[in-house]
Amino acid sequence: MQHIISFDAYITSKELSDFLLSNRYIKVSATTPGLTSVCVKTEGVNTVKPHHVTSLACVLEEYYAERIPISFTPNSSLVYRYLQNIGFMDMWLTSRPIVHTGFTPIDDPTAFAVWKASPELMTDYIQSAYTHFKYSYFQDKDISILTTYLTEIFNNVFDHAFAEGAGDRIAFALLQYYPKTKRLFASVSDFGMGIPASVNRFLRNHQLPELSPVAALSKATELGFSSRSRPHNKGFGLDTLRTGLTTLRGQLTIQTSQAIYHLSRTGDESFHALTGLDFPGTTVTIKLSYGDLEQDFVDEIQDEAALF
Amino acid sequence: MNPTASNGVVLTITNIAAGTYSNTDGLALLVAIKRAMQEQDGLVTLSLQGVIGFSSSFLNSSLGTLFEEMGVAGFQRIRLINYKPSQLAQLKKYMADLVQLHDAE
Repeated sequence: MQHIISFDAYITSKELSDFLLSNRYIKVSATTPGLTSVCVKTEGVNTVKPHHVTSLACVLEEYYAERIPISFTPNSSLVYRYLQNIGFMDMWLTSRPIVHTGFTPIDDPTAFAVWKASPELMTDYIQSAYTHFKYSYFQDKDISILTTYLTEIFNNVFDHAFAEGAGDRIAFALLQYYPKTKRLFASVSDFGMGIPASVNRFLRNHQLPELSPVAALSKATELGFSSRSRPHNKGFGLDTLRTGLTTLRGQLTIQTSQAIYHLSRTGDESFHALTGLDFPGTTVTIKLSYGDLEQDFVDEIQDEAALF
Repeated sequence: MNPTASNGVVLTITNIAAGTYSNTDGLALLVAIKRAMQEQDGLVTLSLQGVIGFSSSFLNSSLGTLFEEMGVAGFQRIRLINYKPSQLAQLKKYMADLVQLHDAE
């Protein structure tokens, strides 16, 4: 029996969460006897953002790992063409190796490769993405900070979603530049345990009271708080994202389990409970605007500087 | 490690570590700094030539660990050259946050 995934660019976290949960392999395989294939339908869908693509990739990866054939119904929608252009559909061909490795630069200069994140290739991916956008759209702007932000997001995934004892080690990334609005979006989705569970695991292990999902997510963004899933963690990562994006009037959204965090362009931070939901894993999106970035300082400074 | 004309040695980060994003790379820099400090009494100057950005993981394993081991005193012998203003700002913020957290503990 074929399972149909009706894809849409869901706007709310609830809609996206419902979509992801109802199409995850564990649920579909339990409710669809004799599951033989999956078909993704995108008819009539004419807009999509990177976090839709990365979270869909997480869903499809579960079927792909089970060697269940995945197809896309051809249609004239903009999203179908977009997914084709960025090489998304080719990722799930049965003729490909079952394990996703590497990333392939794509023809569309506005996008940078959908990638199944792995620690081994993180530096290559980040530096390639930086080079791609720097020389395509940001020649006169300093986007070196993009490498820092991406690293913080990926290290967060590897430290928490991929931590010892974690189940699904699935995470995907995609970067997309929008020339009309001159905005760069980067999204990373994982199907790990979620930030609140990671925080509460740490608290539990230290005989400390557990927190609500919102309070746990808030705790995770504090400078100096680390769930110590790895010995080197000091709790700088999410704070680096927050403070850096605030300075650059960027945006940051974290959707995880039953909580959501948003940093607006004006620097306003908000936490919301996703009551009654369980958003799978964590999806982090950052947005940078060309106009808010600083001019590139081409020459390096030769004068000696001290750190204290 | 390259000798300077004046006082101490210059460590070019891109020659020491494959990148500036992982703990492994940070550890490589830490080892190089400590060795340079032991082998001579002068300054240890870090050249950021060719460096694009840093991650907190890289900094935790390099400058963060150095701070834990030597405190502010150890940094009296550390200098930076060939940096961009944004990089200097990022590193100074990192060190300031480190001191703040250290004091809070």
